[in-house]
Amino acid sequence: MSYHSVFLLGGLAMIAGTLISLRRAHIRAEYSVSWLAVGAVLSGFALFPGLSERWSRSLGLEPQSYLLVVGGILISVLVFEISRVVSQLRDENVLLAQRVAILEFRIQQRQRNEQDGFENS
Amino acid sequence: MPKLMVIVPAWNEEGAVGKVVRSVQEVLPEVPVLVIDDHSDDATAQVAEMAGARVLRLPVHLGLGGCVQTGYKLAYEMGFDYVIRVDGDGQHEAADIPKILDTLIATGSEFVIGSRFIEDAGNHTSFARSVGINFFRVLLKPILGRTIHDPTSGFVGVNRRALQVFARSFPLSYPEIEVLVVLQRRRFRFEEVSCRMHPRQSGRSSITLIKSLRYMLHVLLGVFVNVLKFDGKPLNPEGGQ
Repeated sequence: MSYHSVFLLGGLAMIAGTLISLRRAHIRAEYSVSWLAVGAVLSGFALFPGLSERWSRSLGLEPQSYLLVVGGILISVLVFEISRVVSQLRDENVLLAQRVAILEFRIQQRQRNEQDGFENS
Repeated sequence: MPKLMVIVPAWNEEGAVGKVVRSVQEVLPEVPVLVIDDHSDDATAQVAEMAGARVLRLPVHLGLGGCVQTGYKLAYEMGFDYVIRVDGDGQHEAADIPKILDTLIATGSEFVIGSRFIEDAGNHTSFARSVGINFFRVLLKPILGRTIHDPTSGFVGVNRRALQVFARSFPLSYPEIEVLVVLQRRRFRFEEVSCRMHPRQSGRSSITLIKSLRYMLHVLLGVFVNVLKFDGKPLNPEGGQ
């Protein structure tokens, strides 16, 4: 199996997996775009080998190495994007947890005060 | 009389938190004690409540910084002028709380650290922790322009100006050292007062030997990020950035 076939299979699998996950609502549409884009780029390089060979020659790399480098960069960008989103979600989660805890505390204090007032009346 | 609240962040401290609450109430009977239960697996919240504290329960485990910040947020919203943090493991001496409060009021400083190293007041520190403390003492000196004897102390007091800032922004994981850089960035004043420390009475430290490397890397990164944010101008403590 040539390396082009491997990249084509990998790219198509990525697109198919993303679309299936989207349909099953396992991934939100806004986060699926990057995966679809990476799948499309990998498939495109496999379908048009002349393109990758020309660019790899200009960089002085073997076409196989070139595709691996491109694939690695794309996956790294995706992983970084995931870290960014997770960090944002973590911050929002902390804010929400704090707000819930404070509101619950204040409701309990109010109920306790009302109860004390009722018992003293 | 200034409005003071004592906050006690606690995670799985059922063995010590009751004694901590009672010791604070003995020293300052009129001052509310708020225990922030960081989603403990044990009976920390119930023990604290039985001891007479008000208990704020976090719905998920946030870690020390998130836990302390929740206390600061509540105190700020409720209009408190000063907040003193005492750890829930029983290491801090409640009798030293008035010393921290008096220093906050007398100096007008935004932040006062209860330090175990100004005088050798019978402090108890592991070798690993001493190495970390000395490392950060050296690291912080050029950044802060002065020596902080006990940069990892959790026995601290803040005034309302610092509360306002910390209610909005506070380091979430290991806050003590990063907070000093945040204070310096805002040109806030901070003081150290000599305090006694005891060995922890029960539970386990959040800074273990295994975690110490991760702790140091994490704190170093936090300090680095806060130093990068420094723009050389004093920031307005009343109005945010």
